[in-house]
Amino acid sequence: MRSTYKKWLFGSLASSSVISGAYAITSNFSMAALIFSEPFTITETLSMRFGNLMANAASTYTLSTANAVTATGHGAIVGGIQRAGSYTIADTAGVANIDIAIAGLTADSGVTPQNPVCSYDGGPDLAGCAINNAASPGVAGKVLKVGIQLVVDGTQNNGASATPQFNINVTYH
Amino acid sequence: MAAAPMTRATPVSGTQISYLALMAGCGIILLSSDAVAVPLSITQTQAMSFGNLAVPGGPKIVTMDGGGNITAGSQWVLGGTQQEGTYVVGGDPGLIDISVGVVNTCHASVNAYGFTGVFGTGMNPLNNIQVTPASNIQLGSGNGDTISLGATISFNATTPAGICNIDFDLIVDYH
Repeated sequence: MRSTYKKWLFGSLASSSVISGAYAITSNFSMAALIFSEPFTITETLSMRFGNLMANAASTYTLSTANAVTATGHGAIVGGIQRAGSYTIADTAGVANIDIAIAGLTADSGVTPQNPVCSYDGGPDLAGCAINNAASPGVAGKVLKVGIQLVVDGTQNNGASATPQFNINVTYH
Repeated sequence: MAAAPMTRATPVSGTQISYLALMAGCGIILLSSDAVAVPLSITQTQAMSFGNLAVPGGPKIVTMDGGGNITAGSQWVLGGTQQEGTYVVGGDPGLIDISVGVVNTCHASVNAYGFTGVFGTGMNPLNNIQVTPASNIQLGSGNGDTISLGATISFNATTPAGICNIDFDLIVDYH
C-alpha cells in the first residue's frame, strides 16, 4: 500500500494563534488479483487415424466423419485403425455463440492435408468446416468430428510415418 | 541544543491544537502542526475482489456494488471471490470528502471505474466518486467510519488470460 499525505496551510508560522488548515490523505490500494481465463476449451477425445497405407504409392486418401477411409490413385489401406478426429468443445462461461474453422493445414514427409470436413453436435457434414454462429456448447461441451483428405506423394518407404497437422479455431462472440 | 518542553496553548473551540516547541538560537519558535491533532488515516480491511473472469469475444463489463453483489455481467464471472473493498477512515470528527484518484490496471484493455458504495452504516452513498467526489461527509458520526466500495471492470477480447493486478488511489480530504 502506498500512502502520501498532502497538507495545505492557510496560515504561516505562528506562536499561539490558530492555524486553519485541511488535510488530504491519498492511499493506494490494490484489488485482489483478477484472473482472466479463456472460457473455451478444445479437448481431443479421439485422435484422427488413417491406419496403415501402402508404401511408395502416390494416392489421395479421404477420411469421413463416419470413420471410413477411401483411396484414389495407386494407394490402398492395408490395416490399422481408421477413425475421424473427435474433439469436445466446451464453454465454461456458457454465454457465447461460436464459429469453428479448420486452419493451419501443414504437410509432413510428403503427406499433405486438405479439404477438411466437419460434423458439429451430430449435425451434417460441412465441407471446409465453416461453422458460423453456432450456439454455445455449454459447460458440458459438444463434439466436433473432423475428417480430412491426405495427398500422399508416393515417396514414403515401407515403415515410414508422417504427422501432418491442422488447427481447430474456435472464435466466440 | 536542548529539547524544550511541549507547550499547550489555550484550547480553541472545535479543534485540538498541538505544538512543537523548538529552540532556535536564544528564542523559542512554536510551530503549529495544523488544526488536526490525530493524523488522518485510511486502512484497508478487505481488498476489493472480482475473482475469475472470462476473456470475452467483445467488450464487456462486470459491475459490483458496495455490498459485494455483482449487478452486471455476472455471466462473465467464472468463479473466485467477489467482495467489496472496505477501508476504515481514522481521524478526529469532522467533515470529509471522499474520492478515487489514479487507477492503474494490468493492460490497456482493462479499466476500473464507477467506484460506488457507502460510507458508514449506509448513511452516505458514494456514487462514482472517481468522477464526482462525495462531499461534506461527517467523519466520527457514530455510524461507523468504513468505506465500502465496489466498481466496474471493463475488458474485451484483447485482454490477455492470466493474472491482472489493479490498484487505485483512495483520497480523503479533511475540511
